[in-house]
Amino acid sequence: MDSLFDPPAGAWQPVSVKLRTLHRLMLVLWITIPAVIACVAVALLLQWWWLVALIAVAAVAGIVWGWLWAARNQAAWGFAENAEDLWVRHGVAWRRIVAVPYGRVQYVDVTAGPIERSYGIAKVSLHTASSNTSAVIPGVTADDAVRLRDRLTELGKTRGSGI
Amino acid sequence: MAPESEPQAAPFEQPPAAQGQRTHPASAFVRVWIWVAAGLFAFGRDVLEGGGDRSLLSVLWVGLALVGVAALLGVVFGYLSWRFTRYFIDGREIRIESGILTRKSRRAPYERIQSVDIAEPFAARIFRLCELRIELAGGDDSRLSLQYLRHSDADRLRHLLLQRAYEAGSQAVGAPAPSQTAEGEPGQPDGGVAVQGPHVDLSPPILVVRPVRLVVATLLSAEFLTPAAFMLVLLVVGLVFPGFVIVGLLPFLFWAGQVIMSRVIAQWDFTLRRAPTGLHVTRGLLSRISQTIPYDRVQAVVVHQAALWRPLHLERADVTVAGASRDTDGGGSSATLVPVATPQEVRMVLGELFADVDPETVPRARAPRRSRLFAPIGWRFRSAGSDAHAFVADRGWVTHRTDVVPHAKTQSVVITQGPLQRWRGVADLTVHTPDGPVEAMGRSLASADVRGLAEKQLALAREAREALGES
Repeated sequence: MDSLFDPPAGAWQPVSVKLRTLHRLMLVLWITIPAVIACVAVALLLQWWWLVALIAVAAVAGIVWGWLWAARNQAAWGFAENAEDLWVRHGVAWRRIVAVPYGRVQYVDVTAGPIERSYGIAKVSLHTASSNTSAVIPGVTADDAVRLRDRLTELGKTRGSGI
Repeated sequence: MAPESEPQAAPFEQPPAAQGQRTHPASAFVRVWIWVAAGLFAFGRDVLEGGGDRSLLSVLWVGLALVGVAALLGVVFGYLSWRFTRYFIDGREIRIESGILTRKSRRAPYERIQSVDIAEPFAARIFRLCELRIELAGGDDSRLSLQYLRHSDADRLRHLLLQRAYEAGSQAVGAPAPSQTAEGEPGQPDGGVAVQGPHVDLSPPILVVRPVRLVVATLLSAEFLTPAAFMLVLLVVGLVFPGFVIVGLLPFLFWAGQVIMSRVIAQWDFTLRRAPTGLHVTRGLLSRISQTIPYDRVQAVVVHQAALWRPLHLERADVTVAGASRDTDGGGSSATLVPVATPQEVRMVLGELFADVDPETVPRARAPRRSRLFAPIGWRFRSAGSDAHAFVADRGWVTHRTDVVPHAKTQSVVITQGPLQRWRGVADLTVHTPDGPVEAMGRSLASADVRGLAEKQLALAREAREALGES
């Protein structure tokens, strides 16, 4: 049953562990700042100390869960460049594996936000004529991303066929 | 002035005149009804907000004045916009210049023309005029429309444009028909609304949907019965607790009306003909639409069968066409391939689009019994499989659907599995096609089958693409 999400050949190429760090950073920021604001507001306005404690505990629980989730999520991402198709898998509980024939790739996007750039990683998205394809690989190192894009564009050109 | 309609004169063949050509003068009046409707709306608001302290006569005078002014404005505006609209045909492109204050020029290079269709909006039909729609490749705003022309002119222009597009090497347009010899004449006043335009090719139709069948099938479809059931419940409730029912009824009335509009009015007199470049559809009760489904741009087909249609042996088919404009004349009815027909007829039409593809004979992997957690009844209807020509996926209980994707049109393949599905040992398999009504999805199939099907699909799709590239 596990063979369902096996790589087509060899092993999955993992994405950078920096994706894990990035997710953790975002998570800590997005949980800590609202939690601190909520705690301060409750402490000053209502002085319900039990609610302050509850928020703090929930925030810590969220961070711990997210910390573990980030590692599993990063480990679940993988891609494989087959002779004819690119395979991308991701997800821990809800798993998805997509195979895109090189000949069907219309264009490839490489995007990197400011935080991603500071970590030296980027997101590679493949686009076909179908908007449901959504083959996205986050957390590819910048060099890999450019190499992947050039290779996919090149293969798309040589094997490309009309819609 | 508008070109006169002598068949031999062919004014479009002349070298481009500097002043271009005008659409039919009566175009000025076609859109007046919009202004009149606006006038009536303003009158309605005036009556509602004016209070009851006015005499009936003064109210009527105000109404008459409002509608009259609106109609006058409509005529003036229509005349001006007709006056300022010209189209030019030269060696490379057709160009339409319009706009009273802001001049607008739209051009269609011949090599980018995808299709040329003739539509007859209801208002234009009253004036026995029609609209020429030129679809271009690429972009959202890729339609040029000439409003409005006489049928004979539109027909000749369409023929000319298709020929020029073919000569300019447009991928989508095949060799034009040798000549349209037998052309009807639009001038015959026929009285009835169902006048066949002369641009309808006179090749014998391969499929005609009789209105009776259309009406019966629509009344029995889930899309109509659902709002009808809600309305019935509301009416029964209304007998017990009168009062709120009218407000509650309105959305369902709209819903049912929408279904009738898109399924009956828009598909009235549906006729399918074989044309050189694709299947030619003519349909519509109020507005006659004439469109072409180009063979080489058809991506996939989905066949629907509502529960109540099964005993009657009826089916409906929709089609995904690459780059089809998101045209919403009646709820996406432009994606309809067959509004309703017997399974044999649907198979025949399918055979016209994809040679060798016959969904009946494709071996399928059925969803296992253990997947009934996800669809207690529907699991029996779920299956997917492929043969040498196409991938086929079935699902749906109340409305059964069969999605058919020829291998050469496969875009990508995806497997998904949620935690519950993993527990039951099943997974979903989807074959992606360009956006449209088709969604070839095998749901909750046995995990053991899914990976094999996906890999087989990728191999078959590659072979089909290579075979296509070589030929």
